Amino acid sequence: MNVNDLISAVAGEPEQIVRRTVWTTPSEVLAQAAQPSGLKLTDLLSARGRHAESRDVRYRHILGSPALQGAIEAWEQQHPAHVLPTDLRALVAQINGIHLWANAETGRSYTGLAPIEEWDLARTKMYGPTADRGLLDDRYVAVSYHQDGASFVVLDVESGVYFLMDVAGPDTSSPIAKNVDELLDWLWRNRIAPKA
Amino acid sequence: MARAAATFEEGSFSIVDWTGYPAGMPRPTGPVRVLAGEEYAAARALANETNAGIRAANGLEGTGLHIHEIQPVKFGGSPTDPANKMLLPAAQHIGPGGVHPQFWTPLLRWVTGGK
Repeated sequence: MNVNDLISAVAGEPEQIVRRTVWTTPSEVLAQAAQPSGLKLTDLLSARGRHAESRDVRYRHILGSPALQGAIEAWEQQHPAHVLPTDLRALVAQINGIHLWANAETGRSYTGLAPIEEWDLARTKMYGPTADRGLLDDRYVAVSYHQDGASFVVLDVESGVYFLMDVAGPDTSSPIAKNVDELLDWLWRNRIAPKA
Repeated sequence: MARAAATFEEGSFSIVDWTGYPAGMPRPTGPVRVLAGEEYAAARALANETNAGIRAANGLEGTGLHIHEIQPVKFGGSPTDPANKMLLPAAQHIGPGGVHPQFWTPLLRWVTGGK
């Protein structure tokens, strides 16, 4: 799937308005979840005082506006050891961020291709700027986002291969693409359709 | 009376040293197994679909809470079972002192020899 194929595919799936049940949780329960030991999901789901309401939520595909040349150059200046593949550079110059079935209100999907301004060392995206370098080598750059911080599309700038890496243990066992066309194909196949 | 021996998938192992695991946080029970390749990608996709639905149905946007699998998907945990999921502040999930950089990621590196 090249960029034009993606644009056509996106045009073929118009916005959807989904009526869904949204549960509101008492603040004291959320406060419990915010403690360092967290809260089991089953405890959240069975908590007293939750109430449901129906909401209409709009979902659509959002392709980001082209990155400014200055934004691309700024990223490259900040990461002089990381040479971006030509086709990836060309992609962000045309579409900077891919958010398939995004919540129209937030403009973001559960997971998607991040705009170049958000790309960083995968180690930093996963574990923060002070993370031990031994956790993941500098050659890996995260180019995606994830609402739960659980997994990332990671570019190996030395080989040009994209991997799906998990925050529980990033490794190179799951290559997903060798170029942008394959990356777009993977993103499209893994879009999460909205459900009621 | 004879007892049937428990059977586990090839590559399963038990964790006996929980050093680095945050105190008070639920631990997985039973053996774990590292998923790789297509098997991992498929499990992750299922977890993503499930967790996107959970986030939307429970208004979790903007709370700073992450959905965490108690037995991580990468270690063979269920991607869909609510009993394998919990809410964690992002810092306790992936921050410098979080359960992943402090326990699961070093464990994977140890198991795989850093590959």
